[in-house]
Amino acid sequence: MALPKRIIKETERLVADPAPGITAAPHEDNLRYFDVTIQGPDGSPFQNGVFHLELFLPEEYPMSPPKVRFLTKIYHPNIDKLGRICLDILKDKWSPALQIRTVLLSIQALLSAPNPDDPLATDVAKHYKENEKDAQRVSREWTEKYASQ
Amino acid sequence: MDGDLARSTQPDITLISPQQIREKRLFLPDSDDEDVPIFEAPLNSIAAMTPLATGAADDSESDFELPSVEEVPRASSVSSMSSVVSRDSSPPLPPQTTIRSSLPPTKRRRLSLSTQPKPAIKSDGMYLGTVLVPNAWSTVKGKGYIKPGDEVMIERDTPEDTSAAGTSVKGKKKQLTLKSMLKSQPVKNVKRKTDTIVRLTNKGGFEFGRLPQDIAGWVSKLLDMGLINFKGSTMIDCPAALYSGADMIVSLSVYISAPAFKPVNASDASTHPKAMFGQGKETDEEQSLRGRKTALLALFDAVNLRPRTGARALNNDQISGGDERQSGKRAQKPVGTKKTRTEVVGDGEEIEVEEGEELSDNQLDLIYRKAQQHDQAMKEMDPSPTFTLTLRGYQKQALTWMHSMESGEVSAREATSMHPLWSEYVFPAEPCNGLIDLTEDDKPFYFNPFSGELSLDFPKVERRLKGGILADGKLGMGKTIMISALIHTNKGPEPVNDDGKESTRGRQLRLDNAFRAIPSNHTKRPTKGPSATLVVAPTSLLLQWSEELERSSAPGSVRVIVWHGQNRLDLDALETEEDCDTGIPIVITSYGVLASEHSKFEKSNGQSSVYQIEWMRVVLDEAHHCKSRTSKTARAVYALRARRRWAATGTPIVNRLEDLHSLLKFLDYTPWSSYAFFRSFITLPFLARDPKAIEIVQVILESILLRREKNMRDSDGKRIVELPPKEDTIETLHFSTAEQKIYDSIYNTAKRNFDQLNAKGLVGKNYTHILAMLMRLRRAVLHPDLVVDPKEEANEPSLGPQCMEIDAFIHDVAERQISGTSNTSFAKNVLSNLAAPETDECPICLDVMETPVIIPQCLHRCCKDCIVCYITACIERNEEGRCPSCSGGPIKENELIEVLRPKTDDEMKTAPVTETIAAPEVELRRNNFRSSTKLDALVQNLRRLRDQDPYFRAIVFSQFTSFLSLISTALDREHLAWYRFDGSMDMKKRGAAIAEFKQNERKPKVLIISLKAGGVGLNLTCANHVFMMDCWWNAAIENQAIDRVHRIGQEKTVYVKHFIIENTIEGDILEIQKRKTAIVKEAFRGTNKSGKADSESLENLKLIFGDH
Repeated sequence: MALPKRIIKETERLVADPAPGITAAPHEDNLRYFDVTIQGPDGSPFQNGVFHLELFLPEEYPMSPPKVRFLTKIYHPNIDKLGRICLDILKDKWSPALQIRTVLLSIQALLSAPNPDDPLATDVAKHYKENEKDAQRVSREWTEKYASQ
Repeated sequence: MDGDLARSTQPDITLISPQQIREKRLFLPDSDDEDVPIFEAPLNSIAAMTPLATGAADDSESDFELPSVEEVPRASSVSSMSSVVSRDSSPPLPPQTTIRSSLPPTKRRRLSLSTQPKPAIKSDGMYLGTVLVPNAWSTVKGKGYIKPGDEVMIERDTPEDTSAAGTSVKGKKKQLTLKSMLKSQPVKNVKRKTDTIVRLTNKGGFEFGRLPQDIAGWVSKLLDMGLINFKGSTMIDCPAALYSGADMIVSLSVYISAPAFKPVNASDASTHPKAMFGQGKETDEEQSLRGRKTALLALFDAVNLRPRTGARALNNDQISGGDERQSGKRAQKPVGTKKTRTEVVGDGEEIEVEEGEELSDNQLDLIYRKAQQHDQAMKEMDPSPTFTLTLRGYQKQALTWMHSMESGEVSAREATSMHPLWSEYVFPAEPCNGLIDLTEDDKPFYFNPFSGELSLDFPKVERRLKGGILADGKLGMGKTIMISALIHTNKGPEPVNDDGKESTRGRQLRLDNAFRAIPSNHTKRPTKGPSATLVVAPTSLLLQWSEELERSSAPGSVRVIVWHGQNRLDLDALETEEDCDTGIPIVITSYGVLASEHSKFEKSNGQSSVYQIEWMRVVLDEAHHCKSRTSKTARAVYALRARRRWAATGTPIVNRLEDLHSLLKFLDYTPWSSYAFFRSFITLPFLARDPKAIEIVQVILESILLRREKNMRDSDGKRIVELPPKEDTIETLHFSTAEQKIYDSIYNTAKRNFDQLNAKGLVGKNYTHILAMLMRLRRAVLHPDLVVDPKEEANEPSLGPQCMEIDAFIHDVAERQISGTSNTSFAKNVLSNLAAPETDECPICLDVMETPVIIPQCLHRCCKDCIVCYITACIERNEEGRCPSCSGGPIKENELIEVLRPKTDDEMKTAPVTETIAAPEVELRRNNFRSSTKLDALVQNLRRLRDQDPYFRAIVFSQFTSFLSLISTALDREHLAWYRFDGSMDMKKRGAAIAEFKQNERKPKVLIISLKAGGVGLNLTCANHVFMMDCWWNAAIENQAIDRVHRIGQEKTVYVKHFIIENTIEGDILEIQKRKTAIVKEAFRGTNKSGKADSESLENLKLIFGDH
């Protein structure tokens, strides 16, 4: 099936005018599949880390949200061991007015502001709740270990 | 003539014993009629049942007895069978004496009563030739039965003999003789045995041998039918002492008897009303005809008689061979399993149509070609001065032709060729005392190898009817005008019908009714013959006919009555009041009215004035409406009484040869008007791939049909019709996501269904079910609403006011702003910029919004398609629709507000100032109408059209009236004036719609027409844009619809646009159209009463449900 105009447009814009700290490039053989990197936001335990993600635009996109997953291991209460992300706009709060760019910016923001009250990785969330400092230390360690380039 | 001949051939019949004469006298009357007391009752009844018997009985009887009579000169090798040499043309053998052998019944035998032919009777037959039978065999043992050179008599007996064996000698004799004669007659419900024993007897009447099976086969048949007799057959060689099974060589001299030349189709089905509706079942008459034909062919072969010219000269084998195949086929295919399908004819009448082989376009062209051969050279004729229009050249030619067809003058086209079914043979000279008179003229006779008929007269292609088929192209070439010119030029009244010969079959059939009908009115009539013309046309064309007739006539020269609707006048007034001053009476009525009048006429003692009048002329417009001869419409049409009959139709053959039959029947074009005849000689040979069938049809059409195509050229080489070009485009569209889903789900259900049925082999049985699914698919392509359950539709809110006042809306928004629910500045901004050309992106597709809609709660905007699609997706997930930008909601599709800007700035500069622009600049409209891809495409095309031509006229065709309604709603929303024309409207409304559409006004107009109701006949040359919303299985139907616009009178280029949605059933249909073969036949082929399909249709279905 032909690629909808919207996806082409979004891709063009992502390339031409990338969001700060974010790159996204489609695979040549599948223009719905993107390789994404997000820099850890400054001031967060993920600072200086470069996180790899994959993003896939399903057939229904933009009527349904893109599928996004961290490929890089990350110690974050809203991201589980498999890299799955707990973010409302990727689920029920999706709106077709959102775009790849906005989704990735939201994820970047999520790194800055973990939300242990709506956890996906329960052990990490517990850790963050009980001892945030220590948890942030682990996050930093993981970032250094897995996300430093 | 044959009488003379007969006498001369029998110079030596001299001796007749008194006894013989007595015998003979007894005998002849017996055979002659049934009221001879000697006859036994059962026989009488048989005789009475057989129409052929009465005429032929006498002759065939005596003829039949002839062979045994006495010496006739032996065949001295006249025939090509020169090996047969008879040495002996010697004096007659002793006078005949009849010897009844009283053999035991088991040895059934029938002995001929040897009689002398009535001396005066000229029917002792014509010599045909000699057959040498080298392998006759003996049934007796001993000497003295026969010796070489002796005369041999040929005897035939019948199965019935067994039962009759016990009767007295005398009785038996007669009985046998009679029976053998009668046996040839078709006796209904009596199964005839196929006994073919032919006995050889000596002069003593004693059987000594039989003919071998192969020869006995046809000899027995011909003898039974009384077609031939044998005179002077001789024993050539045999053993001196016979023994059972001994080979004998016999020479048989064959004479064809006079009754053979009597027309056989007297017993043709045309005289049997029942047969008319026999759905192609072969009648007994036909069967007997076929037997006769086969036997005669065998005979001609045996005596080595070859046709000099004609049908059989060409392809002997095909005829007889084809016949065998057909009969075999027929046997396997009893009537009950004939493929039929339902078709709509006349005014919505549905009929079951038997499937015949359909014709390809090439074949059709071929068929018409011959009829068109000489058309160029036809003379032109000027119409009567009361006809006020100017005719074009080809129309004048048509007038010439029609005039000559009516006046019965020699046809404008000379047609003097021999009837295509016949071949010419020459009687071989008969040896007379061993000599052949070489000076004698050739005596030709004619044989119809298709029917088995024989004739002594040259079978011309004859035409008794007055009238014909006017089949000018499938386009507007002015059939109406031509007919009008004819009416003016050939006005009545006709002479009073006194000879009765002219009476039509319709009349004969209904003789009782016709007489009942006459008393009151027809007593006055004889002073003047009929002068009125009846025009029968589809309801939709009645007004057009009346207008055209008036338009083409000098005032007062015609009296046009549209006879339709509830208050139909009493037409009797037409005849009685008729004065020369009042003009030519013309009555226009519809097929529907005619059909109902006909049933009334049949039921209620003939109280129907249209059937009481004898019309001077009946014209059927779009005559293919009665192409099915069993339909009520067709029967109603046949029953009309008229002197002259015309059928005007662009498609005399819609897709089967049999379509033609109904027209021929209406025209009373004998013999083709008889269905059995038509079927035997045209349909069946055609099915057997016999090219002769087409030839025959060609010759028929040559004599009664006029057909010109619009691209034909006149004698000067100019096109007879110059039409502006036509541009045909197909606009391929893509479903919206939602539509695709609906379509896919229906398609998948259908496919699953089909696959299941197919796996079980039950497709054939559930054919109608599958067809319904196909129909649903075709509707789904047009608009989702067309496939939604009516229940769901009922839940939809009724259409409120569609347009909204901007001010009111702003006011509404402002109020809500006070309550603080909305972002004030944003809303103000949006509303103030409504009129500006759109530059904003749709948040969903990221494109500039083409048809922006406002979400009323938050005033966010999206493309209409995008937001509708999103809302649909949300609903599918059981969520409420929310604004994509602010998640406000819930929002509903039908609450959205469309923003309509009539023109962009650029367009406003270029376009002339029109009323449209004077309309409010921006318009808000509730989105309470669900559109579809096709509708949108149409609307967009129309918008574009309006930009180019503010006064455009366009025609929109669809097959589905429910879709027409949606179209009209969509047009309303576009503020386009539209007019509707469909089958559900009565005639007045239809007429009004057309008139309003044609009216000259400075605004664009759209006429939406149902393909079925308006595809034919209408003249809409004021429009030059045609939109085909859906495709029909048959491209010809579509073209005919397009020809409403692309016809004489059209001055502009005609633009035709077909909307096709990609990857749907429409693509398949298009493919089918393109291939133009007899395939798929709409995949609708072969729904018969039991809902079974033939294999071809199944293949077609698989094609549709195959993977794309």
